[in-house]
Amino acid sequence: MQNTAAVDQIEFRRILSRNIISPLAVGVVSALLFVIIIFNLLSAMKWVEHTVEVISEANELAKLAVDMQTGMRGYLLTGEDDFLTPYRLAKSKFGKTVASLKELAQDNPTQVERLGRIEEINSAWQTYAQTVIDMRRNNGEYLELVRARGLREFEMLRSEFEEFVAVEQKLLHDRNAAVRQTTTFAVATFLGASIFLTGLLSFFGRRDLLRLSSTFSKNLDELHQHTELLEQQAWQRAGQARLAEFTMGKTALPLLGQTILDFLALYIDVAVAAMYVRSETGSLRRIATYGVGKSTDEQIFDGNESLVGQAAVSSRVIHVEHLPDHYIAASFGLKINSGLGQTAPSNLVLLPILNNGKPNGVVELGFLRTPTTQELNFLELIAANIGGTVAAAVSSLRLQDAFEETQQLNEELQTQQEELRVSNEELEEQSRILEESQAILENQKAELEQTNEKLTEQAVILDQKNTALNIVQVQLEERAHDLQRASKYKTEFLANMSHELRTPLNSTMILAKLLSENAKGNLDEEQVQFAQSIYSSGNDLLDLINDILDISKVEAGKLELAPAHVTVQSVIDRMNTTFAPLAAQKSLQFLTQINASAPATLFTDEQRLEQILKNLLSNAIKFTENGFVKLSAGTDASGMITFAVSDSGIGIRRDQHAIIFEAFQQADGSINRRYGGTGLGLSISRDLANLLGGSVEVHSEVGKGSTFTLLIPADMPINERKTNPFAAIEPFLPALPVEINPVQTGAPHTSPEPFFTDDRSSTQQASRSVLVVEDDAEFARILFDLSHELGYRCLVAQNAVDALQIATEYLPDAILLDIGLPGVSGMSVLQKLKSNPATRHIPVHVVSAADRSETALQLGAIGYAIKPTTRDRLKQVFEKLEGKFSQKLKRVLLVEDDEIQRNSVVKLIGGDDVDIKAVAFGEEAIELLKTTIFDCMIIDLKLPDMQGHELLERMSSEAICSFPPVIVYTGRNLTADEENALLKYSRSIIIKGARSPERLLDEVTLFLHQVESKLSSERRTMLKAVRGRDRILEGRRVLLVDDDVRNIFALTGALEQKGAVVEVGRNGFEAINKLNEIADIDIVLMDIMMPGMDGLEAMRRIRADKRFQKLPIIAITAKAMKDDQDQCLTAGASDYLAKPIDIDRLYSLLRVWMPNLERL
Amino acid sequence: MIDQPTDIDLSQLTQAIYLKYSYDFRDYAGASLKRRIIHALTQLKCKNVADLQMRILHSADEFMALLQFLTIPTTEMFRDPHYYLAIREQVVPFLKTYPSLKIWIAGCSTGEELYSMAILLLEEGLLERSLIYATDINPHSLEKARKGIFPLDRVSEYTVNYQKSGGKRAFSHYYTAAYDGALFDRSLCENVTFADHSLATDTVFAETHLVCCRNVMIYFNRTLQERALGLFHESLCHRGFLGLGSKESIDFSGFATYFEPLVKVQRIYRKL
Repeated sequence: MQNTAAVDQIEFRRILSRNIISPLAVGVVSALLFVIIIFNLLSAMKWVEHTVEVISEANELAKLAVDMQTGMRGYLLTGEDDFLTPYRLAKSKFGKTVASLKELAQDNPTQVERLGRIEEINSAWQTYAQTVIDMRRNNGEYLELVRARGLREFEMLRSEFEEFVAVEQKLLHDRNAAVRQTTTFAVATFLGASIFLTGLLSFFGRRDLLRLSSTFSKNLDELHQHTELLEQQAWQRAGQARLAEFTMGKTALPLLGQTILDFLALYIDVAVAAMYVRSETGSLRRIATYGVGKSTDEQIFDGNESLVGQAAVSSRVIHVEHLPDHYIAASFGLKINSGLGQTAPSNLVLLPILNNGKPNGVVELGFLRTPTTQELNFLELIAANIGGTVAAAVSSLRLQDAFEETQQLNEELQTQQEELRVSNEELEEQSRILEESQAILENQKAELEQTNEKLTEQAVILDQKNTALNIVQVQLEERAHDLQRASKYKTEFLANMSHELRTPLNSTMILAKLLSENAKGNLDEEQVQFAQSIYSSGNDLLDLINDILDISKVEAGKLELAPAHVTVQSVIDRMNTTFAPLAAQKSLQFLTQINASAPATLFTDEQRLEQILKNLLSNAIKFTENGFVKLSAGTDASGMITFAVSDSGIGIRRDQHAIIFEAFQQADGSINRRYGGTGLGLSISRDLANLLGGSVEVHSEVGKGSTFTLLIPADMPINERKTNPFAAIEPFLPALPVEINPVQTGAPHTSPEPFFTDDRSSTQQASRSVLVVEDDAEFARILFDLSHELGYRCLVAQNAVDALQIATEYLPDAILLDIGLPGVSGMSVLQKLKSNPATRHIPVHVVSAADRSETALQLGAIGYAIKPTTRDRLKQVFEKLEGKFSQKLKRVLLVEDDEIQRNSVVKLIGGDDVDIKAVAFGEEAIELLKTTIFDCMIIDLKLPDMQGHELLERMSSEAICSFPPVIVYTGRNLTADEENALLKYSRSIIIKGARSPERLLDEVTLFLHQVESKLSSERRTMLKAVRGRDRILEGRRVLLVDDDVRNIFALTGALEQKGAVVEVGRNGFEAINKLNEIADIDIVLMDIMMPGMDGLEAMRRIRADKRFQKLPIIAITAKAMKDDQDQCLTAGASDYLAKPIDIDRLYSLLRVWMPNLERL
Repeated sequence: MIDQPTDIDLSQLTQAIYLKYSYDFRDYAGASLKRRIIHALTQLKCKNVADLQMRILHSADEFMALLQFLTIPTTEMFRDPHYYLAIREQVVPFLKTYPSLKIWIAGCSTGEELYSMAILLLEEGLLERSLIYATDINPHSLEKARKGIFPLDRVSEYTVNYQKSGGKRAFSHYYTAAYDGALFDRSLCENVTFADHSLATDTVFAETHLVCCRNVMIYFNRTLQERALGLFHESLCHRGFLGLGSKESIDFSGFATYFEPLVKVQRIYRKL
């Protein structure tokens, strides 16, 4: 219906448009036609008018021609000029008129041509007329002329005019005719078309309208039917709704059934009704009736018994009509009972009620009339509702039963729970204990983890330190080596030198000897004496040279030993022979003794043994004025043979026992002058004793004599010959700064021989020192002298390395630096000085030939002088330096009444750069503060003249130079109020006690030295740490498995930059081969997508090998999905890294996974 | 029975706790935190972290319960007696030079550490001029600390520690035993300020002369340790003292150069 309506609507619209638009279109078309006709007529009329105008103008022209003719004739006749007036007038107008006529007749060329002829003829005529007139005026013979041509032209003119007008007339006529014809035709056509179209439109319009009206009436019918249906449905719905209302909340089955039946009776006039519900056994049991008499007792139907059963089984409404009375009564007993009587229903409906499509009961309804279809439909409709309600009631009933059962169970449970609670409490107690122990465990675990972490870090640091130590060790070895070589050169030089010296000395001595003998007798006694002096001095010199030679031989390891069996007795005897006379000379007793413990013979170098004993004995005799010198042989507790030389001489102070064995040292500088000697003897003795495998010991007391004991083994150990005297010296070499000088590492540095001895080893105590870094010896000397002149201790370095070493070691107050140094430039020295926290505070002044002042100043030099320079200029340089470093002098004011305390504090904080003014009185302090600026002030609270806080208050109120930071140093405890009062002036209050001096020093240091290098030192530590982290890759072997050349290239570069050794495999096979070939691969970087064998497979195979189960493998995957990563890990990767590779992340992963550092 | 928490779970949980309660466990050491959470899951009868998270987000009480598991109140009085001995011998002489003292016991937990320090200071004659800040993030622990009652069965252990730490009197002098507990002398706490303070989120509150933070940082990760040390450094006066737990050290932290070891073995450091 909807469909038809829709079609009709479109149709309707079409009809409507057809019937309105078509006539409209016809109207518009005819109007247009009409307009065209009228325009046509108008234009035709315009042309007619035009023709009329042309004709009239032509006539005018003709008239003008006639006027001229007439005027001329008049004049000719009369000779009066008056007749000429019309002639002239016409003549003037003629031209104009012709022109206008020409214009009008433009459209017609024939006419224009004709007009041209007229004009010609006219002008000819006019010429003639003028001639005639002139002749007449002159009384000429004009008549002749008139006769000859008088009328010819004029006749021509006239005929032309007539023709002209005739043509125009004809045109006029034609046009009129054409107009008339057109108009007639147009009107006729218009009328015809109008009639035809009107007819057509009327025909179609009528047909359409008829169709429309029929459709409309059909629609009206349908609408009516529809409304009826809706009403029916509404009724059914209302019924359903009311049924639902009625049954709501009713759960007991009988009540529910009764309610339903009541409702049905009310709603559809049921006279009698019964309701049957399927019980659990499947039979239908009646649960409610309506209008049924008492006689009908409970009824139960099984299966398809009776119609009730049939209805339930077939799920179909059974409608039985026109029942005979007895049938009903007999069969069902559904009689309608009332107070007055009873009757049987005439119609019976058996309605199965459905729950979810299944019948669960039947409603039997008896009507006194035939139920309408609508009612039957309604019944079918509500069958499901009733079924649902019934089912709900049934299940609610069941639920109630179940609930009761549960209740019972619940009670049982409660008792059990009670029992459980008891055991639970026990458990809880146990769990509490468990928890406690778990917390303790957790604590321990966390501690362990922490320790672990610390240990790992410690391991790393240890490793770094080890590396640094190794480097230092190597450097030390190099140094030792250098030293050894230098020393060797020295001793060789000495050895050579001694020989060279001996030769001339020898001749000198020989000649002196000759002279002293005075063979020729030409010398006087004094001259002989001189010669003897020359000889004895020469002898002394020779001894010295021999000694030097010996010691240098020993040091150079060149001394050849010739061990043999030596008899102790013979040694002692020889000594006796040699020294007894010498002792006798000094009136000394010379004693020898061989103890019983001494062996008869020993195996040693006899010559060297005797040399030692000679040295010792001659020393003993030399330093003994009276008494005895004694040589005794024996054996000590450890089995060493002893030769003891004792004397009763001057003795040696205990603190000098060590010094006397040094070369060129004697116990007291003044001794040298009194006793002579080179001071080499003991040194040689000691070295020789060492060579023999023994030593020399000394026991001595000033004024009581000395005992030098030579201890040597009875059997000289041949293989223990100490050819390297520096082995023992090595540990005492000054530690080199850990920072490695990159320039140094290239070639080992050897210090050149210094130009001259500087003040390095001088004991002279100058308050300030300067380091001169200069490779030009002369200029260095100038600076050296100048600095001495100005009161500096001067150190000289010839090159950069020395300069840095001296600077760090001696920390001079100032540095004079040359830029053009051999090897490393002075600039880098400057840079290094400034970057070392220990030396950065030292002012550096550059003196150089090259002008690079800007760079130097930027690097931190305080000034720049260009060579050649003058003495005055150099003095200024020193002044500048001094000005700089003396700024560091800090002034401290100490106010303390107790003298001991005062002195101790002065001692505590005093130093080169601290100037302490110590006063006892507050007044004094204030006076000082008025004149001097102090960097720091230390006060005691208890002063004789005023209290400490009083002093502080005075300081704040009186005019003093500046209020220095105040440290209160007091012996008594303070109350909170006192403390607060003091805190106004002082941030540091120190109460004297066991550790107070330390704290005082801390606080003073804080105020005086805001340690300049602190920051940079921290930074350095940080840098070191970073460097240390990077070093983890150093020397490590990384297997890089990747098929992409670019990747290999990039990763190899990055890894090698950190010092790693990179092995490359192009696929899984190669990787496995490499692992088999190269034993010490530390870590594998494995690409996943590779030809041949891919990374996953390769990792699986690698892991399958027992050797590589712990080998760290980092998978490199281009995919970032979690799955892929899991795959990698499952395949055996230790970790994974996504492409594109972030190098920093790679480093950190490598750091994490790099196996621990046993190999570094 | 319990779903093992993943790192994401943990970070989500800690983030949630942070956002809701401003307790910041995000930088606690992962492994330890994980164990604590697993333990809490069993004890609080949660199936998984999500469950736990939902519960604590909806109930502050549940969160307090969880907090008891997350913070570890395991401590004893005069724990590591040698530490206290070192404080007594090496630090106290310096402390005596200050007219008044401020001491910060960070992460004081249930107060054992605090009472130990108070007793030590009392014996050294410093307690009356000291102000002690005892801070912790767990309000329950702080409450316990405030009460100063410790289980009697542990007192014997404490007594031994006390004697080893250089105690000068009888330990029983400081407490009254009653029922199962030992109530410590109230006067020990006269100058103590108890405060809820988190090393993870809060900042420095006072200039102090001695900071004790023992066995707290072991539960932190490196970032948080750095933060805590930063706070201590900032709080300490020039040349102030820092005492750490026996397994803690500043050696590898960014603050290694800001302190010098005073008694290295006992982890007592001094600010440079």
